[in-house]
Amino acid sequence: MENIFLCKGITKIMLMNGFAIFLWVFYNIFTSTFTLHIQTNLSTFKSCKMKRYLLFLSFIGLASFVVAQEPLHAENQNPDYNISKQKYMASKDQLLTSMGTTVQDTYKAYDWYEAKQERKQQRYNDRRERRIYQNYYNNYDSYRYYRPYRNDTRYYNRNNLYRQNWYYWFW
Amino acid sequence: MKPFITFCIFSALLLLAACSRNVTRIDAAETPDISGSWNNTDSRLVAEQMINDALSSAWLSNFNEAKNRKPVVIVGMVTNQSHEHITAETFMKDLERSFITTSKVGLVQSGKKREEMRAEKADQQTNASQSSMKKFGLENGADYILQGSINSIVDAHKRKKTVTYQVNLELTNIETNEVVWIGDKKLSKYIKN
Repeated sequence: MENIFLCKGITKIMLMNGFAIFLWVFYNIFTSTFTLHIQTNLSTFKSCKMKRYLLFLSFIGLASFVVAQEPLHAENQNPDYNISKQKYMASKDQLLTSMGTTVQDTYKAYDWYEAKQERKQQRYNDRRERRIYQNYYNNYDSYRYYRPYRNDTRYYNRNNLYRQNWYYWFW
Repeated sequence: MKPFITFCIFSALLLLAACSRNVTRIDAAETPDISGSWNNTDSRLVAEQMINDALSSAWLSNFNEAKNRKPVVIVGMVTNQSHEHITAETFMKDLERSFITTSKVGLVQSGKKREEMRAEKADQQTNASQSSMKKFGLENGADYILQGSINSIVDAHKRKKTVTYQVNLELTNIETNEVVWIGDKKLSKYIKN
């Protein structure tokens, strides 16, 4: 039923109008005191001008309701278009976020010269790292646990990077 | 002693001058190739090709004949599938500008700018005067969507390298899904390190 109202402009106005008239007329007929007369005495109903008028209105309402529904389906339109429509109506915000932008989906191309430069840089970085940690590990006192505590440790390990950290001075 | 001091001062000044950064303004149309990567010249060449191609193609006259009005285009997504970081907005903006300046094609806003515009409209509903308030639901619907892709092929050995960029722009009828125009520009470069 909700799909009937998914049209725009004059069509929607016609549709709503027709449907409203239709409902109003039928409400009046069946809630009025004439209801009994309609059911019991058909001739009374036929002679009543008011009822004719109501029937006429009802007919207009129904007609405009039917006419209004026609533009909902365009010529040659797939009758199941609404399935797709509902699917994309639900996800349109998410799908349109990258509109008007460049989505970067780049790849890394192999370049012999660049690869050589990268290898060179990597070797330099490795050497530098080794140089830093060489000093650190070479001066590591692995027998410290077995030796008795000495007060002059700070002088003994003066050039030791490991000992330069204050945390290790007190154990 | 005095000439020696003067010599030292001049030497120091020369050294300082050599170290300082030097910036020179150049014409945007004559951007020199420095690294061999995508640059302003490439973007400009793509824009020129696309503008000429898009505005002289049959889709425009076909639409004018069928609908008796100028087509409305919305800019969609451009996917960069090359090996470099390329921003398509540079040449896409040139193309959009040509659409507007020639008045042959109408353009509607898309993406975040459209969201901002709608947010402003929403703000007007409660803050603007009734006479100046802009209404919802009166935007122009686009007839065509402009989408694109950038691809590249790299061939490199030792110090030599060739790079080929291919930029494609496609114009598709939103209602019928029919592709009415494909703009194509290939750029090749030979780079020697």
